[in-house]
Amino acid sequence: MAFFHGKAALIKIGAVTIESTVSWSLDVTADTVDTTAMGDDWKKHETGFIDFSASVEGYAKTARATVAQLGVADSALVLYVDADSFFTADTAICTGITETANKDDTGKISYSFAGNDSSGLAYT
Amino acid sequence: MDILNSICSAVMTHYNSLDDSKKFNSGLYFCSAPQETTGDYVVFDYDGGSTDEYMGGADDAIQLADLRFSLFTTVDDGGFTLSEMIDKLTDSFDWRDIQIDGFVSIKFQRTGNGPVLCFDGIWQTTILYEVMFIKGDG
Repeated sequence: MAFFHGKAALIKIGAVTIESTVSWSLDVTADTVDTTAMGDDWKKHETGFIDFSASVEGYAKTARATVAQLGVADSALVLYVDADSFFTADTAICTGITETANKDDTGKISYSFAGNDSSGLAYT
Repeated sequence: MDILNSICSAVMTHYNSLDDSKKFNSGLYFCSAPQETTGDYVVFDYDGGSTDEYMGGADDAIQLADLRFSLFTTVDDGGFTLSEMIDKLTDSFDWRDIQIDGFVSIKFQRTGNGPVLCFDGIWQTTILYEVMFIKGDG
């Protein structure tokens, strides 16, 4: 196990690398159900559904057809930590795109994804 | 080719591509002009730069650089010729798409100017630019 630097990270949708990205984040959550009963001293929980979402930020390009990527449910999402290590979800839905233009700065774009995969996330 | 060399070469290439009417009668130089230069001439300097990297390989980055153009004229006419030189320079460089192989120009932005001075009949001023390029082909 080693530390890593995000410079070598990458994001792919399907087989296509999203160009000029500056960050990604992955949020994995597990629902819980409160099963505490009268007479218990401590609260009890049962695990529920596991889910993940991801977001990506980068520099926007004029040639990128971003809106067409919204709602596409059958794309694999691969989040590379470095060249050899990555999270893979066979399917993820692009749930949002925010593109910004500012007179004093380069254009920026961000994507958000929701997991849509019964097999969940795999880490290689 | 390093980015300093690339940017400065691109400025010279862009200048050399201009119509003669938009050029300075004694030329554009990098860092220094010949000692005895007279007439209207401009010297530009690389005032430093920075790199804003994004994910990927070592050269995946936005390159920022500050350029300083120093305008000189030995025509002692109260600054009229100097103001014409300012117009020529800004018309030719403000937000122009300066071509660098392997990079895409994001901006060539005028960010300021220095005072107008006259020493021994030589009128001069400076114009500052901030330029930004990103690796790629468009």
